[in-house]
Amino acid sequence: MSSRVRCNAGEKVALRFANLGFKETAMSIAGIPMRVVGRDATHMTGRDGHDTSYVTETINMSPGESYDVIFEAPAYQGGGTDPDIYVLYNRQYERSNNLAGGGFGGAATHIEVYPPGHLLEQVHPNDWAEVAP
Amino acid sequence: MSTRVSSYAVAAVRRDLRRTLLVLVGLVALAVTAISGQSSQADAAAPPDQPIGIVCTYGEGNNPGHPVFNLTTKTGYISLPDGNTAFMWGYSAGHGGFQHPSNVLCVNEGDQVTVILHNTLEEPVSVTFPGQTGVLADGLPTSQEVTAGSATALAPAAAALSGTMTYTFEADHAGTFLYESGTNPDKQVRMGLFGALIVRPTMGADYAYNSADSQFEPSEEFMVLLSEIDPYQHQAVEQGRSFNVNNYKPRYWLINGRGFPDSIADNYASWLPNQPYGALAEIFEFAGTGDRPSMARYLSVGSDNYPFHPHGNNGLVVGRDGHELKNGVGDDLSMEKFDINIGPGQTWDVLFKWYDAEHYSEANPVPVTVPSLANSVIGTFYSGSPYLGGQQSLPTGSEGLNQCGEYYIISHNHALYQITSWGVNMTGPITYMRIDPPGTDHGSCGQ
Repeated sequence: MSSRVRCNAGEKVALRFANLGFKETAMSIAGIPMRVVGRDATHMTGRDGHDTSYVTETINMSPGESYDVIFEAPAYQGGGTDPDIYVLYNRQYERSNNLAGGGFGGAATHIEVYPPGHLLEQVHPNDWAEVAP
Repeated sequence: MSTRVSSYAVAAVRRDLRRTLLVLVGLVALAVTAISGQSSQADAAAPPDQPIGIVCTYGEGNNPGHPVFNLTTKTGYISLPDGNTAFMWGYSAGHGGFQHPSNVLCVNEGDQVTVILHNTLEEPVSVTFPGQTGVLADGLPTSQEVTAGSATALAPAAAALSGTMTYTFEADHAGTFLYESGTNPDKQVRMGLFGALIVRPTMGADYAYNSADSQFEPSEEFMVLLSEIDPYQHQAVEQGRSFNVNNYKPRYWLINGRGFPDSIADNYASWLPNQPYGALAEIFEFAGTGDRPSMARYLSVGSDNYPFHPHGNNGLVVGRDGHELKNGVGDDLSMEKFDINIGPGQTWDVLFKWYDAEHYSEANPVPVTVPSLANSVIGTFYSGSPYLGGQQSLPTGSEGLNQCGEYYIISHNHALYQITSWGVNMTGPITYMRIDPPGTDHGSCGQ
């Protein structure tokens, strides 16, 4: 399954993280804050109904934990229709490396932000969304 | 921590500090010479007269709202607690020489920040600013850099040997942040290309965030920057050899670039010429309403969780990753913690207070039976009196580093294998909270 994220500027994007490994992992996005709205399949709400969601750039996940986050795709900065690329990577660097030559080769992917309206809606989770005709 | 471990701790502190004390005595004369010598160099800025707390580096340019930082990559060596040294890389601000960690950059919320990177290393180097948005590199949006089909950097880099790259961003929210290399980071960050960035909120430099309840005592603000070193990686880089990151195994862990007991030495201690930042948290008791808490800014550039643990003292976590712990409608989500389990690349902002809860004194003695001297270990920092501000003579053969009856309470990484230096126990990221008696001055005890 692809973990490439494609979205239009201004869209709210949900990312569902689950740590199925045996070590802590620290998923980070360079340049986009995320709001954690769920943890371990539980909405971030206190017993008295207070919103306990929080904003961060780093999801520090223990083995077996899951996090649901929402980020708003930032304004489109590039020219034409080439996407702005933001890197989603594991800040525990050796786990985003896998010995790739000179850089990122493991738990790292792209968040590609297109101009508003460039992509159609997703048909199902994790699809790349078709380019609008 | 159990009493048994604590007694080991005390014994180790004694051993280490005996050595430190000898070195210290030997270096007093040298230190005076070194400091006066340094000020005569045209380019070297004299170290600020600030023995404890966070030493800020402010932007050049004298243009309020538009700080400019010139960061040059430098190489050098640091001293480790077991007597070893490590070859390091670092960013140095202005005309400064190599230092580790890199300068603490302090800016104000709303500032248009410019960081000009001057690369002198034999490979491309970049700077990323985790937690900042809209960062531009040479005026263009920062994006991943791809070389020969491989992703090599989180941001555009300055070319090897003599390249420059100018990064600009608006520091649009207050908090504690890292800046670090985004190029081949499992080599370059570990070699030392990292530092702290502090964004002061609009409400003022003595607030952590734009909230009245985040105010702290500005003379009691501390940095806890945690890192790690695999000496074989550093040796390989020094000798120009490749290093298989699959073999990466840290052997040293540091706080503000130093191991214990160097960590409790003053900022700019003369015998640590490249490791300017101390970690002693020197405070007064929290005196009640109207007094302000102290502030600790935790940062981790490591690759494991670091469960940092100030003994006998909870802290109130008010921010994480440069975001105040409040929800969307301003409700307080802060939390009490006595173990700050900080993940890779994270920052935590913690307010803390030390209460003299029982007010023990000669007239109100601690209700315990004191064990015989034969069953006791006298700590290096013990004043001879259990009471804050009290001093009594120590048993023959004890060494006393206590100045005026102040208390010392240990803070350390609770993953105890991480407070070692290639196996030497009770070194690594350990420091003290030092509580000075009321009515004295920090450092000098008013003497």
